[in-house]
Amino acid sequence: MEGKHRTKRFYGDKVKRAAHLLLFRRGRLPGAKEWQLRGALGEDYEEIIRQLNDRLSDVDLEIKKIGAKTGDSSFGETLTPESRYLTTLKGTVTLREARTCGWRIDSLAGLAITIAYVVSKQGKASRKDVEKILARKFGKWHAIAMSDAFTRAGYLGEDESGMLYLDWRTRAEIDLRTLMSLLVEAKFE
Amino acid sequence: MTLTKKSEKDTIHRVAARREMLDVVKTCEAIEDRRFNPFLLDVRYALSILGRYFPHWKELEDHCLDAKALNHLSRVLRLQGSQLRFQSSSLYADPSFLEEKLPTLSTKKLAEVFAESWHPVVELEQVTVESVSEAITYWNTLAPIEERWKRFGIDGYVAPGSLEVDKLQGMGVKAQELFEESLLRLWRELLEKSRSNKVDYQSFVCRESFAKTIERALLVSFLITYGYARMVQSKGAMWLIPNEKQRIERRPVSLPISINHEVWSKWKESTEPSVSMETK
Repeated sequence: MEGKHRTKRFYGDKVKRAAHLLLFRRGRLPGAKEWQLRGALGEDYEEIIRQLNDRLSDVDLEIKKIGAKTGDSSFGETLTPESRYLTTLKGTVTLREARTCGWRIDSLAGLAITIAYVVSKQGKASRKDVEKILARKFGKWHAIAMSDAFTRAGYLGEDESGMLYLDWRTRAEIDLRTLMSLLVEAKFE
Repeated sequence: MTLTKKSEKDTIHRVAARREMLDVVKTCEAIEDRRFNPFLLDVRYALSILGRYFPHWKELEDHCLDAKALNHLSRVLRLQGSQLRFQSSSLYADPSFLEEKLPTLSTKKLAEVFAESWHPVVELEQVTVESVSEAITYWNTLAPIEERWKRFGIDGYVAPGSLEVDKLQGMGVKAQELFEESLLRLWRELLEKSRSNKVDYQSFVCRESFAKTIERALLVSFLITYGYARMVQSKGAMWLIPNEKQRIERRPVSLPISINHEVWSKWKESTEPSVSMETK
């Protein structure tokens, strides 16, 4: 009975507080960690996030939960209290919008190639191989600069042995299934 | 005599066994680094090798090698499992097929595909009372634009004009060659000058004009960052050693080198007598 009552409850102020926590960047990475939300919103934080998500979906936004670290295969995320909640666009942007956000078409194309290649290698590929495939399209120096930029932006991570893996931003922002199927279906030019 | 022969035979046998064990470890490592398909290794056969030699190991070193090989084999098995799961998922695409296909697609097409699967993170920069107050103070104390223009010797409004390409190149607004081409040219020059030896950093970087010297120093820093050259310190001087192939340092070290007008002037003075001698 009590549980039923709890699900019907509406958290007005707490939803606002959750929106502040998720939308304003405070640390190095955007969003908030699960334990931070639990501390600020209480034990019902998941219900509060759900209510906020319902409101945000009206303006084409959604809340995502990403694991703190990827597993060995880079696809299996382990969700722990360190997991991070982020707000992302629910829909997609057009190329023109992406350009006005400061993205170059070259960079978007390079990121598509890099992520698709790393995915095809089961989530881990050597930096050398990634740069080689990028160099075939954009030239050697540009390829090196691109892989560095993607790593700095959080799309790729690099381990001690020089292997690149998909980092938090790729997991938060990219729908890998859509990307892979669109690339496989794309006609040779 | 017989005992000595037996001991020699044992030693040879152990060396061959260790080599075989190391082969297993190296193959496993290559698979873990995604250089080979996990199914390239017959795990059952590899385990039989481990089983065959295990009773003969006596030294701790050999037991450690055995444990290491077993650990690597377990990781390969895990990779085989994840490969099977991956192939049955919708994410699977043959890497060699993608390697061929991706560079053939146009940049625009690739960007469009990416944009269709991209849901960027939304975040807001925080505005605080302090930052707003600071901005207001800055704005209130900012001199009018006409005043600021005077510092640059501009009197009032200047109508837009046109400039020739040569002039733009002279001003440094338009580059004569791409950055990539400049790097490649400098790398070739370094390779040619070094001829498997090291080159003095200062004499390689410094040129007739100070601007050219700074440009070369910048390009050299990129060559080092991208792994096309190394820098070593010896006899109180910095030396450059070119790499025949790209070799990126996994643990890079930052090395600030100051090149100011004074350093450049000293270098120029030291080279001038030799120039005048040559002219004579």
